[in-house]
Amino acid sequence: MNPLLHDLQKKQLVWRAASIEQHKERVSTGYQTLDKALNGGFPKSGLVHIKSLVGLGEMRLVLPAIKAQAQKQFCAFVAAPFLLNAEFLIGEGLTLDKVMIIDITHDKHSTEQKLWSAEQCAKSGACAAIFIWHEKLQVAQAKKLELAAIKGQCLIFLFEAGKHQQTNLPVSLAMSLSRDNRDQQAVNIKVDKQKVGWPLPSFSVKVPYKARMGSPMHKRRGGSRHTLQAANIYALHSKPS
Amino acid sequence: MQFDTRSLWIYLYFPKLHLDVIQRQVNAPEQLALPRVIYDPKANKMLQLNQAALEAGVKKGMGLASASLLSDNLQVHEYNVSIEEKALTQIAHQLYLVTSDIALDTPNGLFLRAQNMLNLYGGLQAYWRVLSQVLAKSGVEVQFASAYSVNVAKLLALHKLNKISDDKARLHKCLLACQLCKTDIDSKDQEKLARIGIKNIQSLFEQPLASLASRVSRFSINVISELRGEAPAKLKFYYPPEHYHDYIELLYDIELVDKLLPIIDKLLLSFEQYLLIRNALSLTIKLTLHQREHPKVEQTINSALAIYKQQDWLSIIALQFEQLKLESAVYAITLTCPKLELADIKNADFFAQKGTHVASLTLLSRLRAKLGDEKVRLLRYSQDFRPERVTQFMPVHLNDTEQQSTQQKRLLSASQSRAHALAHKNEQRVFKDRPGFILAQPETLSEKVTILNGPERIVSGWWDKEHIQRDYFVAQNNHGQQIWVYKTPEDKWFVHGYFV
Repeated sequence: MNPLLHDLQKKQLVWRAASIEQHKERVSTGYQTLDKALNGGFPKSGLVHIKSLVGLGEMRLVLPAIKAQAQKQFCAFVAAPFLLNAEFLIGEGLTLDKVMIIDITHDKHSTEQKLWSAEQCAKSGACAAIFIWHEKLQVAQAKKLELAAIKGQCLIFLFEAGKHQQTNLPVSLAMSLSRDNRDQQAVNIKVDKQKVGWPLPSFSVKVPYKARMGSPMHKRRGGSRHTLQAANIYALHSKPS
Repeated sequence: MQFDTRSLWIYLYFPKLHLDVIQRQVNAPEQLALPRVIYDPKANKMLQLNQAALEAGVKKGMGLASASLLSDNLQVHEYNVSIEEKALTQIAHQLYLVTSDIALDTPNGLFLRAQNMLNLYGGLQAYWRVLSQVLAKSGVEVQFASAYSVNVAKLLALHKLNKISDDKARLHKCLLACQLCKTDIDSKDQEKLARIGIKNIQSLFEQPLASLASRVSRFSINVISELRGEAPAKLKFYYPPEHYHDYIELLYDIELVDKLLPIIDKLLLSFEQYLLIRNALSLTIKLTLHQREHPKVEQTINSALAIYKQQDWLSIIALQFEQLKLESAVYAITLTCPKLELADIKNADFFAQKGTHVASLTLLSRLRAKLGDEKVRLLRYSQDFRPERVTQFMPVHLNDTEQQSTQQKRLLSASQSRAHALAHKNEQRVFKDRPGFILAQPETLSEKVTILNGPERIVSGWWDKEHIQRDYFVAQNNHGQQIWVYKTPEDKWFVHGYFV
């Protein structure tokens, strides 16, 4: 065999189709189409780069995958662009006790602090998933996060809204999200890069803006007049303590 | 406290305590090899010398001028009695763990009451072996002796007897050979005794006590009768303090924070030993950096998890000190620990939970140390219909995690479990069509959107002056972003969230 190829294989930088079974350890995303495209789901650990505008359903796409693990371990949200909504997280099945918010003030140290926090969270082994919002990640920084995630056996989801193209980051998985206005529930996903697999052209996945269990309000609305009144009474009495 | 004249006592004399304390702080071996002396400027006398200084020809009691003539690289430290006293207390502290009755003889001696420890250790030799191990660890030079009277033990130790024995006859023989000048007898009285031909203990003992009584002071008579084994000893015993306090003076001023860390490391090591022995942990320590020209800097270091290990503390301190700026050089450091936590045994799952719990608390400590306490927060769900009120951010309270004593926990557990059950019920009841991101301040809607769902009217808060009436819609803009917009009764449109 080519010595260079042999070397790369030893470092697990290339893989052979014959050994695909070794890479079968995947975490199901909860979306069938996506699972199929990603050979069974997200990798067990590593950096996942998601290029998406805010509000395309990017978080709803990944939360089901980590739901089980997040009961035991922390989910860290590093430098989120807006305030996280507790109600949404509960609706997605996360435990609030296990959600950690790390705010980073915008100053000259913010990039460094952001990446440092994410790396610490990943390395600690205390987190199931880390969500970080960051633009223009450098190759070295990506590599650092990737290694930290593998060390701590967790997933780092990096969200980037920017339009600039950079595809050669050393990540486990890179996806671009978009949505056209024809089908409001579908998100178009393009797999830019994945370990153990080919890049894939755009395909669509249904990601409804409602959590899957459905809204209790709508249930009540559909209910009889009597239950509607009960719901109103409940609303009247639920003053904050 | 008074004691009978039949107890066996041990006296430990530390002839070079001050010097030993300084040598202990020195790191480099070439520094250790330098001749080093402790000097008393008032009396112009060399008090304590190390081996190198002795080899250079410097002698005890020499003046500074002649000493510096003998050795050109002589390291001179001014004698400071408080340093010796502190070191002595520290040694007493370490000894307190193996022996019960300790009395300080400031600045450089310790009385130990051996009698009541003999049964415990099964003999004097075994007892002494334990003591000498502790003393060897402290790394100071020591002279010692045992006797059936406090003052005799002291006198023998000062004469470098360096033997531990409970043989009365032999001890008496050794005592008789001792000189008068090293006893506690008043120097004036010693002179008077010398004039009548009493120069050593043997000749002192030959005279009956009554014949001396008119010649020497009352204090000296007490000492003499104690030496003869006729009067009981009066001593005040040492009790260890309940709080940890350590103070270290640096050999030279340090301006760089990085350079302070190795020294703090040493402080932490002795703190670790202190905690380890007591089976204790701590959540908070306080470091005070005494600056030469500015007020001292106090740093409180918190850990989410009760820890004792020096490396754990050091990693937190290193992070916290990254932000620290010193105004002027630091000359001393104090480490205090206000409260110790008892280490209790936790029966946890060996693999899964425990490791994660410790790891998460360690992670929290690290993040808080580097970013600041208010940057790391938890979410709470609050039952309110107003979207901006639903999510409450709260700082991670260390109290929530470890600090609560078990007693409190037991008291709280009943009410907590009720609250928890309630919260759980509420969590089942949340609205499922809420956006993941909420804008802190709603923004005016400034683009064309398509309405996907709505309206959903929220009217609430009439009771606390933050009354709202809004019709919420789920909308989608041209970029495909799904946003949460609302319309006020005045027909104004705002963006309030993103469905991420």
